[in-house]
Amino acid sequence: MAEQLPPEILARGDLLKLGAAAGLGFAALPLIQPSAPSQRAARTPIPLALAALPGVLDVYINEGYLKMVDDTLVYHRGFGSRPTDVDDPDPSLTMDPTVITATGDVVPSRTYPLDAAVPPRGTPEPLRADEANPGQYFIRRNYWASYFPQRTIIAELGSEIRLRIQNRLSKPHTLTVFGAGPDGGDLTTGAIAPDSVATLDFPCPPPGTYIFADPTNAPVERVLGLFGVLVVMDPEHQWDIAEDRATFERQWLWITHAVESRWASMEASGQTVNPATTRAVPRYFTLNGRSGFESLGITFDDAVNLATEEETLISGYPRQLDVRQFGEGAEAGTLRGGQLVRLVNPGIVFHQMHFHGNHVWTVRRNGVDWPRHEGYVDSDGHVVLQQWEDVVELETMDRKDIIIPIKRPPDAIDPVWFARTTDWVYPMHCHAEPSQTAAGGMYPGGLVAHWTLKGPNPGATP
Amino acid sequence: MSIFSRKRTDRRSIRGIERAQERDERRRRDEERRREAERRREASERRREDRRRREAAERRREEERRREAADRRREEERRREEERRRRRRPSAKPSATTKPSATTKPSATTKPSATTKPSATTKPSATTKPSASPTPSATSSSASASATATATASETATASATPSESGTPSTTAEPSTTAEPSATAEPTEQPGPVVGPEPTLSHRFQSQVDFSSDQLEVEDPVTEFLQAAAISVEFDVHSRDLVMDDGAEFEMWSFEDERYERGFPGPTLRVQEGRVFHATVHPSKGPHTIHWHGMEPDPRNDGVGHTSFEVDGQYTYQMQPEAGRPGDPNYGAAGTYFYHCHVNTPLHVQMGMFGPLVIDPVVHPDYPVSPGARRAFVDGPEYDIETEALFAPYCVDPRWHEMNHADGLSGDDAGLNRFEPRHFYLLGGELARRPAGRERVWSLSSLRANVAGGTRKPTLLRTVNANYLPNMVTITDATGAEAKIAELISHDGRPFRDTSVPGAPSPSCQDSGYPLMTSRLAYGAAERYDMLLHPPTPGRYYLRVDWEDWITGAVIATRTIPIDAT
Repeated sequence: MAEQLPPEILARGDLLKLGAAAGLGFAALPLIQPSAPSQRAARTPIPLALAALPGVLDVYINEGYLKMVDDTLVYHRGFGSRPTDVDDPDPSLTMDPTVITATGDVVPSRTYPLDAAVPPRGTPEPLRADEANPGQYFIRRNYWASYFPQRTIIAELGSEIRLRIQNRLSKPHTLTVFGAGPDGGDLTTGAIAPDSVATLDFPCPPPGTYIFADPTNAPVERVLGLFGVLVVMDPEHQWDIAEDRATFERQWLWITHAVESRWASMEASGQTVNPATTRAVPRYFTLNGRSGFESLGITFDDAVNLATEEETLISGYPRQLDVRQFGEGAEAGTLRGGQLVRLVNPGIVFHQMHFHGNHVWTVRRNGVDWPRHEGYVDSDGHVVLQQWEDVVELETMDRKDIIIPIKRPPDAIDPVWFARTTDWVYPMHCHAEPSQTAAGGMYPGGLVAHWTLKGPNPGATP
Repeated sequence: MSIFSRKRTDRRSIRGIERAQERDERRRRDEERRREAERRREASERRREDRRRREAAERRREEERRREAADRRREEERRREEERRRRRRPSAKPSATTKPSATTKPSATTKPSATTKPSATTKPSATTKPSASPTPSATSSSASASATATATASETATASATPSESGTPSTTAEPSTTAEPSATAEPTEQPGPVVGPEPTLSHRFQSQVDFSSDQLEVEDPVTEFLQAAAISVEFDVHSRDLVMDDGAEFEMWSFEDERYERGFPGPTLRVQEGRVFHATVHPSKGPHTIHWHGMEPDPRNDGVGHTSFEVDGQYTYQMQPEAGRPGDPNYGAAGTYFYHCHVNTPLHVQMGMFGPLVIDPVVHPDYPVSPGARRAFVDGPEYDIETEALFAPYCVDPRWHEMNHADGLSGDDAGLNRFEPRHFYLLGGELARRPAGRERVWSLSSLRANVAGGTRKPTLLRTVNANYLPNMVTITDATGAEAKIAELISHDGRPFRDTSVPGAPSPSCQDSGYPLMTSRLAYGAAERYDMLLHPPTPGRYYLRVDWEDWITGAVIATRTIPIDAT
């Protein structure tokens, strides 16, 4: 808990505001120690917000302090939606989810498709009960919108993505979209000097999930928070991974991250971390920016709980499905399929995402669809074939698409299943267990979530 | 709770030795008790201190929040009371009704809103629960059953049709899941028609420390709808200094039974698909649970504290591994698993609280089994029982083995985010020959494999990753050149199949003509793979396992064992 707050804060003389806003009591103040003025103090005037341009998404490279799950403040940098400064009590270090439509509109929105019904508390309601399979339901096809977390850009295939990035920090930074170039190459702004602005325009890449981040001094700037995710959807197939690929009821985007607070302190005080000599020892582990009880939606903050349920905590009604057919190319009506989870790891830790209650079906890794036949083991020793897993490997910078079936847990005995009256909640957590901690303990305080098999539904007509 | 197995009757050694052993035993036990008492005292002191801290914090909180906390406490009380009621509920009661339909009650769909007799459909639980005597509860339970039957006649009627018989062919020789309930329901099924809300994440917490240090502990939770089990095991928890195969000695915690006393890893379990399985855990040294990793029962039997409960006294986990159906990728649990404690998991698993679990398939008439062989899954390949083996990469950070049960939970920085292993192990061996006895560490020193093309079935090698770091497995021949002799057939308890044709059978990869042959396997924490070994010629091969850093991927340790192909 001895996270040292860096010196600039005191120089700004905004302690009370910051402390109070961060929900940190007075107790934290004695930790702050004065130090020599940093080079930042000379950097005035602070650049202004950019004048909005139609069809252009503005991104601000900001710095500030984020509250971790144990109320410790840790220095972060990030791609924000509005210009804020380091002493801002509510810094913009993550972008609000934004949709770039095929027609070129930039629409701030947490949900997509834009005109689809929004699932209450994130849970898609079923169409009706499945008489042949008691306790199960028919689910709606092509109906529910999905919520997305902070740091997401959703772009429709056919759009031109136009980003304008202002670097408000004292060192050069870069925004690179990995694998989104014409041949799967990277697209980058190149170094953006302090206080200057760069643009990055590119045609929307094929449907899939892409990471953008600052590759400067890799992985340090990324670890400090300079990353985000681009999700590309085909507007003609808004409930499919891509044309003729798996159909889903709704989708979830799970962004994992590991916070290295020692690196953060060093960078905050003006040093440059050498990742080769200062070995990373992450201290907090997040999913969609939250850890532990915050990531499980069980805080006293209703707004946080609701956002977590909508964005992260998978939920749905049990259904019958066949893994051989997730609705690819099948006709309309109800869907016998599951929900899509896009697992994305811009962090630095090798995660092992373990789902209780249901195995998940992995369909795609890093933009490459896994085959259903003629699978093989690649030269790295990984099986390339659509498959069931209860632990999904998620290496650094990996993106995997999985379908969670949301079906009856197969090993529950019949009498228990048929007597079910309540939701059944199953954990999801990383099995590389040190990631289950916060500040060296407080299990389960790290990269955790859960998914809910909703209980018998009063709303569905039998 | 004693940390030793309860039934120890068959001492057949010489009396003198026996007496000496018992004397030692007593000493050990006394020592254990002393340590236990000390730990309890420490723990209670810590708890008191925590409470004091929390109370101090509490005082500062606003009135509304205090009220909410009170609500939470009441909620918890209610749930504990609920548990107590469950326990008080009479157990044996030959509720003639064996079909799931009776117990059932997908009251589920009986939404109170629509039904005109809400008291009949929604309340029976309330009236049923308090009744302590068997008969009233029997009547009220049947009453509730009939009440719901009227409301949801179609549901109860179809209940026996279970999850989709849909497009799947052939019934199995073994009692299949669908048949099971009627076969097993009679003996000891509990009435408990309506179950109260699951003790899940329904309440809220002020802070992460509150959440971590305030998990629901239940003395003796009740197993709902207890069935007659095909297999029952009793596990105690032990703590012991054990000597590993490199001579290093660490305090280890693990599960034990009479056969594998105070050993590591926990006892090997084999269960067949379609059969009801019971495992009773008797924790000591604080609460524990058992999570059956990869098995998917209801939350109470999933063994996770924050979605059900931690166990203080004892609990019988109950599940029924789903039976496989040939060619159907949607069914079947056969494969390799492991079980582990899910309390303060980073620490407890590293301390050794895990053991291997193998689910064997049902035998299907279309897939008979040769003598001396078994199938890996219902329509899977046969393998040689004699040489079947399991290995589990594992490693030890000695610093962690000095810690206590609840370290880190009270907000102290226990350094559990820093896993810096110094000792690297391959646990396991041939499954048919795991040595029994006390204080044994099951370590792998060599493997055998049957040469391809002979009369014997191929050797099956199962692996469980009991590590927190990524591993790379490489198989080489005697010269060190990589040998593509491993055929991966299953992962995480599910076969690799060709699922390309909707509505048509999905054969295994081998049967569809492209076996997943490899010399390398990359995997990480908690993953399992099953592989057949097909060495083309007799001689020596090697299995090399690399441990990699979880951030940089750099190899930090390697162990190699010989495979002798004959």
